[in-house]
Order: sequence, then structure tokens, then C-alpha cells
Amino acid sequence: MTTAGLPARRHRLDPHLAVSYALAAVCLVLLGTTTSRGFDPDRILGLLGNQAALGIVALGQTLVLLVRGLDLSVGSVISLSTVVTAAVMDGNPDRIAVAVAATVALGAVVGLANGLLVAYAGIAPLLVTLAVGTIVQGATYVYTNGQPRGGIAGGFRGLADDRIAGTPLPWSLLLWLGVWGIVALTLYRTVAGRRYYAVGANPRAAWLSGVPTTRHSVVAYIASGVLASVAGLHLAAYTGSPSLTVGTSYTLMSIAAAVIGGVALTGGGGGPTGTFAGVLVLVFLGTVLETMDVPAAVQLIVQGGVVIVMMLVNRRLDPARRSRA
Amino acid sequence: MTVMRLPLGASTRSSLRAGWGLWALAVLTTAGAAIALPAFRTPTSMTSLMASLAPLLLVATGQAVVVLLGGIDLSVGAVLGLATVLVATTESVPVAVALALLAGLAAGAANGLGVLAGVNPLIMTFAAGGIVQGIALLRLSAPGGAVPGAVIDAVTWQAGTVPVAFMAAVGVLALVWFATTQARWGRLLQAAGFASDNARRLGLPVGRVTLLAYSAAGLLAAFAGLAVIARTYSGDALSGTPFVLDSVTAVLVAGIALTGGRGSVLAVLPAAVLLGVVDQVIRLTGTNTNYQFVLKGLILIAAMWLYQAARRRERP
Amino acid sequence: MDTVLLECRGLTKAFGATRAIGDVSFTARAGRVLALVGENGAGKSTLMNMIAGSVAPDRGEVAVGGEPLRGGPAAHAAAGIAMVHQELSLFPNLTVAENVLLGREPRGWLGIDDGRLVRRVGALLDDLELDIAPSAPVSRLSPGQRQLVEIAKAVAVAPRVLILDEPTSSLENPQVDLLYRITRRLTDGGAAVVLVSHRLDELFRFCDDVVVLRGGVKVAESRMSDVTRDGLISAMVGRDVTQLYPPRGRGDGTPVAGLRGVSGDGLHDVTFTARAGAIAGVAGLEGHGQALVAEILAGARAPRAGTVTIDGNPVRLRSPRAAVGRGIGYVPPERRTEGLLFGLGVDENVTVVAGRAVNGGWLRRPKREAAAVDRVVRRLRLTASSQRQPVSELSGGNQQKTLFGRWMLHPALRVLVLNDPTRGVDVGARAEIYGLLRELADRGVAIVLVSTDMQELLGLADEITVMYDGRVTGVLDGASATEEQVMRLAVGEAA
Repeated sequence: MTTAGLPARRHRLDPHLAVSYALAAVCLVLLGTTTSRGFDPDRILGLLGNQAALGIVALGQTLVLLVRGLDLSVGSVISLSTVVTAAVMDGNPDRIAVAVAATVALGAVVGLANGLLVAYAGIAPLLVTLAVGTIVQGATYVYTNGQPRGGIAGGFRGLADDRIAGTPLPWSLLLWLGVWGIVALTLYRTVAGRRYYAVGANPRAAWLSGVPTTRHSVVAYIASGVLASVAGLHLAAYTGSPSLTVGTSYTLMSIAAAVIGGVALTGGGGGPTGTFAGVLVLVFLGTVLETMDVPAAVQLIVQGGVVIVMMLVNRRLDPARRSRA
Repeated sequence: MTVMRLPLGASTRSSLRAGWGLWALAVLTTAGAAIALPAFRTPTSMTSLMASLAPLLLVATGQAVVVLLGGIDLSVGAVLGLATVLVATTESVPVAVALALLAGLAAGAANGLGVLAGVNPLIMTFAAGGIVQGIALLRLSAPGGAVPGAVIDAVTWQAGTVPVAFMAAVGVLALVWFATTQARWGRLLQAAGFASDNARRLGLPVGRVTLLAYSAAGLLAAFAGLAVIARTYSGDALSGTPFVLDSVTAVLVAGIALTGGRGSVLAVLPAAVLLGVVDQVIRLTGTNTNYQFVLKGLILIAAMWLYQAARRRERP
Repeated sequence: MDTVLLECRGLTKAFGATRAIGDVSFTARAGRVLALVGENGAGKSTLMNMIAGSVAPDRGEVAVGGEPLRGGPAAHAAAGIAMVHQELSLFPNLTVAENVLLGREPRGWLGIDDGRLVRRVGALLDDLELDIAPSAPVSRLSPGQRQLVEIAKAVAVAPRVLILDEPTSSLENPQVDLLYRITRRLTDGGAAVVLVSHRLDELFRFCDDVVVLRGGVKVAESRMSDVTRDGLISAMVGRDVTQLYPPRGRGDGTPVAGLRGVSGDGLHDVTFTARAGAIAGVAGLEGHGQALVAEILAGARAPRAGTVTIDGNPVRLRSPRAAVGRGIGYVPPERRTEGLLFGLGVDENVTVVAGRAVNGGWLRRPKREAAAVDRVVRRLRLTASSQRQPVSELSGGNQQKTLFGRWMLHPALRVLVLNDPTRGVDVGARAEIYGLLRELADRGVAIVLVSTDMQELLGLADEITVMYDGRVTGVLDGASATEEQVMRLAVGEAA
């Protein structure tokens, strides 16, 4: 056996990451130059903290996309979460823990339903999550009869408003980074994380190799449901009131963030590192447009445009990842 | 001895046969509703049912073509909304209608081009929907505008109790069904929908078929916008939102596989009728309309489950 | 009739930095069948795609009847070139007739005239002596029938040059005879046929001339009658492969795993035993239940009746995971769709089975992982640019090696089930794979080798179980069995 072994690593930057972080940097420069106090770290950290909900829900979406799934129910789950949190908490600081537990549990249940229907009934993720999302939305309306009750305890609002004592770091940003760290560590540093990528790359092959593929899928949807409910908790703290519609835009935004970050819709490509950049792009770009007093309609147009362009770029970078026509 | 037989293709005939269960279900549900609910069988109720079916049929027909191709169009709602806005904000009637239809065609063509360039259809049409909705909101930020009287007269015209919009929608559906089964284009649609890479390698004009399918979906969504105006008399950028889920549900209840290449556009008719009747019953019985969401979601899941189980049985 | 019909002049093509084809010239003559042979990665596909017009050469040209061709596949098709691809290109959701004339359907006053379509295709199928109904959905056809329809589709355009890429890979013997007659009819009619195949028997039977490619360059060209088998192999490999099969070992005979009275899904009372240290071959024509045996042993399919046994005890394998846990590994037949994690690297593909064992826990230890991958790579002589190179960029042989590699890291492998492990793998890599299987067996692993390649089983297996129509029709001793004995059992005749 004289054949030489192979170098363990290719020292080459992942082009998807390079592009998405370059785009994030461009947006940061744009933010810095077009607004007053643009580069002020305190302001930027505050901005990111305010958008922790997007960062967290995008991580859940990424997990689902990695196993060839899709979660269109996150928006409904976020809205439901703000409603349930407010109803359970009812403005009482003593009930914060119960409210958080109830909300997260509900998110997990919705995720479990998605996961079971996808993994065991074999229905396309697009449809399952679209249907489940609609059901959740309907249930939220039925439950509140269009009028959310209850309230958010003042202490809980600190999650969104306060900064960690003595630092410019908002608690919400810490929450986001904490979730990011858990997801990234699990995916990049554990054997299960590796297998998770295997499921996305080729479910049949992974299954034949002894990987419990259905379990991985179900876990993905549960994680997405849980993370959506955590995002709902943050939004409830941020806005201070329950809302039936606050989550709606997060479905598209979370997918957009993942796509901009180079996550492949065909599974097995990309990850939380890329998605982080995707969120940065959306946050910086949104803020720039907002401060320029551009109508919300134009923001929609710009976001849609960025997503399409990034899809084209991703395809360019990786012809092997071909999407179906 | 010679029997005059329509030279209909095998797939045309099989699409006539398939879905009879769905037809039966639609008829039974309608009959059941008519028997149980006196309010349902009034002419007014029937007219309103048909009027509400018209836009759904149009959008779902376009959606069906795209799904047959193995794609999906999530921008139909936004395109529909834009069409109503354009009609409500343009004074000249011919210009208004032409503008609305052209916008639909353009949005559809853009979707097709994006998909051909390799963008995932879901993301492409999702993002394009955002852009189209943004444009519509820029033109008309709140529901309203002034729809020309001539347009309203035209789209609300009725032949007896049957609204012309409904007849037109059924006609369009039949035409599209015929094109997907009897024209070479339809055969290519089925082939490319089942395996686009394969079709491309064989040198079949996949690009043209794709472009045509998405353009048709856009155009039909714009037509549906006109049918919506017949009910709302106003322009509203967000008026199309429910049609995204509804059209996808109708197409899937019709048994068209999301993976492409299998199913019949004709089955969209009973599927849409089924959904329309359920909606109408909820409205007429005074049930909390919020249950509509829950019910639609459940119908979608149940339909998918049934079809999935049936397909699994087919494959040994 | 020996006029030159197809002429390739100085064809050259590079993909990025790698040269696929370098200055290849050859001719195919009217009325003759030309064999195009070479190992995987020798450039055959690229060359054929250039002839068919779907790949444009960097230099050189393709001419038909002396006329150089310009333009893409359409221009080449117009000049009379038709190609049957290795991967089947039929649409299972359409009927046979709809497939054969797809895009060229006869039209009546109401769009496509289905009656005429079916009659025309029916006449063509009859003419070719194919017993296939034109209105049958392709999804109901066997792989062999699909391949024949594919060929009928190419013949339907009355090509002047027909290119067949591995046309016999899923054909049974009688169907191969049919194909032989079809090609002969074409050549008798003045067409030229170019045949690519790994099956030497067929090459010698079908072809009049041969062109050998190696590393993208033409290394030999002659009349088929002027070359010998060994000569052809060494021209392809570039070295002597005198011994394709390793010497047989001795199984210690302890039964490790097997099936007992398994029925259902087309199987009838199948009993089968794999012994430690031995290679148990399962022979049969395509689709007679051998694949099911492999899948059941691997836990990928549950038997309707009967049991899987391990060490003589009945067990229920609920999933491949359960089988893996008991030391059973599986190399599926379809590399691309069932085996490889396509977008991922060599390292991820190799460690997918035994990640825990390799890392010594649930946390990844990159150094240990890299060392384990390195061991496998060295042992298999796997060639790749780095451990992280995506397997999609590897050659067929190296891809197949990564599939083996993942089971070599299994800490307690007892049984390795393989279904057609050398399909589309070149001779050189094949010899290495055979050696590896024997080595695993000598270390006490029970090898179950399902294959439609008779030579492979006769050369390698210690014991050959032959199946016909879902039944075991006989068990032969591998060392003494003859091809004729196996064949008789495989077509259902008593031995």
C-alpha cells in the first residue's frame, strides 16, 4: 500500500460564505454611510438585538432546509406564541416562567405535527407546513375571536429592551447568539450533526447506512417550531402586546435569510454560519431603507430582488446543486 | 360499421376517467348541502357561489399547469392583487384591462425566466410575489380606487343566475385542460414536469414550455383579478392573498402530484367546487369564519394523505 | 458498403484544467459496428456526447458523409446521428407510444391523433420483433423492456449513425439477441453503429471494428477479429491484468446470517445462508428476486413471511439501522441515488456509518476522524484531491470505493451485502474491489455478493445460490460450477 493519503483539509474559503459575508459587509457600509451615527457599535448592536426574532427563526428554518424540508408555518407559530404568552402571563411577572414554558411547548407540538406528517405520512413539506400554518392561524383567530387578551409583564419586556449590565450588548442579542451557538455546535461539532447533513444530502443513502433519517427530520421540525416560539417570545417582549399578524412576514424573511446565506434548498448545503450573514443583510438593508423613508412597499421589492439575485449567484457558485425547473 | 370516435389521446381519455371519485364527492357534497340547507339552494346563494368560484377556478387552472410542470407559483395572489389595483387606478377601460393582463403575463414570464435560470420555483415565485405586491402597494396603498363602471358592468353580467365570469372561468379551464392533453405542448409539459433534466437532454424545448406555463399562470391570475373585481368593486393589493393557499389546495385536491407530470387539469373543477361549497356552507350557517382556515388546512392534509396512500399502494 | 459514414477529426476537449479528450480521430463505416472501449474516465462519454452534438469540441470536428457538422444536438440529429444514453431517458408517466414519438406526434383535427400514434409505434415495435404494447405505460415495463423501447425510439428516426451507450446493462440474454438482430438490420441497411460496453463477450459478438481509449487518447484501433480478449484488456488498462480474481480462500463454514423460508413481494420460500469467511454469490437474471434478498438481509425491506436469522436465531430487522447495529453492511446497486451522499466530501461519505466509533463518542474529534479516513483512503488506493473533495467530482471507480470505505470503518462488521458492486466500474478498479472482498472474507466477514455478471460470480464466489422467479433453484460450489450450470438454473431448468 504505497498510495499516499490525502490532505485532510482544503484551505479554500467556501464561496457561498464569502459572497454572503461580503454582501453583509456592503450593507453595513451602506448603513454606516447613509445614516447618522451609522458605524456606532452601540446602535448596530441595538439594531441586531431588535431583530433577534428574525435571527432565531431563520436558524430554525435553516435546520429544516438542511434536511430537504421547508417550514411555512413559522409565521403562524410566531403570532400564536405572542398571543399565548400574553394570555398565560396576563401581565403578572410571577407567571413569566409558566408562560414561556407553555409557549415553547406549543411551538414544539406544532413542530412535532409538521415533522410527523412529513416523515411518516410522506407528504411534501411545502404542503404540510402550509396547511399546519393555516390551521394554527385559524386556531389563533378562533381562540382569540380576533381580539387577543392578556398582557406582557413589564419585567419580561426587559428581554427586548435592556442591555446586559455594564455592556452595550442587548439581552436579546445574547439570546440569539446563544441559540446560534447551540445550533452551530451541534451541527459542526457532533457526530449527529454530520449525520444530519448526510440526511439532507441523500436521505435514501443515509437511511441505508443506518442513519435514523425520520428521527432527524422530526427533530428538525420540532426545533423549527421551538425556535419560532422563542422568536414569538422575543417579539412579545419587544412590542409589549400580543398580535395576530406580527409573525406573517417572518416566513418569507426566514427563508430569505437562509437563501442569502447560501443554504441549499436541495438539502445538505450551507448552515447557520451562512444564515447569520443572511440575517445581517436583511437587517442592515431594512434599516437603511427605513431611515431613507422608503415606503414599506419598496422594502418588499428590494427584499424580493435580493433573494432572486442571491439564488442566481448561489447557482452560479455551485452548478451541482441544481434546482428543479 | 365505422364508429366516429374522437381522436383523443390516451392521456386525455385517462384524465377523463381518473378523478371520477372526486366528481362524485363534489356532486354529493353539493347535493347534501342543498338538501340540508334551504339557504344554500336559493338562486342568490347559487349565484354567489359561482361568482366566488370564478377567480378560484382561474387561479387554480394556472397553478395546475405550473404544478404539472413540477413547479409551483406562490406569486399568483400578488399578481391578482396587482391586476385589481391596475384596473382600479386606470381611467380608460381598454387600457386598464390591457395593463392588468400584460402585468400578469410579464410577472409570469419573469417567474419562468427565473426558474429557467435555475432559481428554485418556490423561492422565485415567493420573491417575485413580494416584488409584485410591493409594486401594487406603491400604486394603491389602501383598498379602494375607482373601478370604471364599464368594467364592473362587464364582469358582473349574468345569464340568468349564472355569472358570466363563472362561465368564462369554466371555459378557460376546459381550454387549458384540452391544451395540456391534446396539444404537443401538453405532452411536453407532462414529460418535462416528470423529469426536466431528462427532457432537456433529449433536446425537447423545455425552456419554451416552462416560459409558457408560468406565463399562463400569471395571465390567468390577472384574469382572476377581474373576476374578483366583480365581487369587490375595488382595487386591493392584498385581495389575492387567500388565493395562494386556495389554488394550491384545489390543485392538490384535484390529485395533481406536486412532483410534476401526473394529474389532470380537468379535476381542478370538482376540487374547486368542493372547496367553494364548504366555504359557502360555513358562511351560510353563521359558523365562526375563522374555522375556514382550520378546515382548509385539514382538507389539504387529508387530501394529501389519501393521495399519498393511494400512490404507495400503486407502487408495490 | 465500406464507405466512411462518420468521421471524427482531431477531437479535443478540456473541462477546466483537465483534458477529457486529446486529439482523437477515427472513422465508423457504413454497414459496420464499431466498438468504443476504455476504462471509466477514459473519455468515452465525452467523445460520444461530442458526436451527438451535446458537447462542443474545443478543436476538431465531426463529419457525417464527408460533411462537417455545425451547431448543437439538433444539427447532429438532422444529419442522422441518434444516440441511446446509458441512463434511460423515457418518461414513465407516458405510454410507450407517447415516448417513442415525443414531440413528433402525428396530428389530426383535434390536436394529437392518438390512433395514428399508436398504430405507427405498434408497427415499428412489430417490425423490430418487440413484444411490447404501444399503449402500455412505461412505468409498467421491466428495466430490460424500457431499454428496448429506448432503442426502438432511436431506430424510429432511421438513423445513419446510431450510438449505443452501454445498451445491454439491464438486458437479459434473449433481449441481447434481439438487440443484436436490430443492430445488424441497421447495418445491413447501410447505417453505422457505435457501441460502448463493458461486456467483452458482447463486444466480440457484435462488433466489427474497435477503438480503444485510455486517458482521453486513442491507444488502439483495429478490426475486432485481430484482437484477443487479453490484448483488449491490457490496451484498456495499460498494464497486464492477468489475474482479475484473487485466489479462493477457505470459509470456516459457520453460518452467520441468512434467510429462512422467506416469501412475499415475489419471493417464494427462499432460504439462504452466508458463512463467515466465505463469499456467498447470489446469481440470477435481472429481476428474479436477488435484489430483494439483498434488501431483506440489509434491513431495507421486511419479509412478508419467514425470518432473517443471525447466528441461527430469528431476528427482526426493522430498518437498515437495526442491521447495521448487528454488523450487517449494505452496498446498494445504484451508486448515485442510493449510495453516495452526493454533495458531501469523501470524509463525510466514509464516516457516515461509524461516526461514533471513529470519534470515540458523540463529539467530533477532527484529528481522529482524519486519521481514520486516511487509513481507508490508503487501503483502497482512493484517488481524490483531498479528504473533503465532493464525491460528485470523483470517477466511478473511486466513488464505488468510498461506498466500501464506509463499511471498513464499522467496528464490528460481520456481514457485507453487495448488490452489483461493479456495475459500470472499469477493469482496473474491479480487480481491486475483488481483492478487497476476498481480504474481508479472509478476515472472517461473511460476504453476500448479488450480481447479474456470471463471470464475476464464477470467478469470486465460494458458493453460488441461483434464483429464478423468486425461488432458489439451486446452490452450486463456486470453484467447480460452470457457466452453463448457472445459466440453466437461472432460466428455471433443473440442473
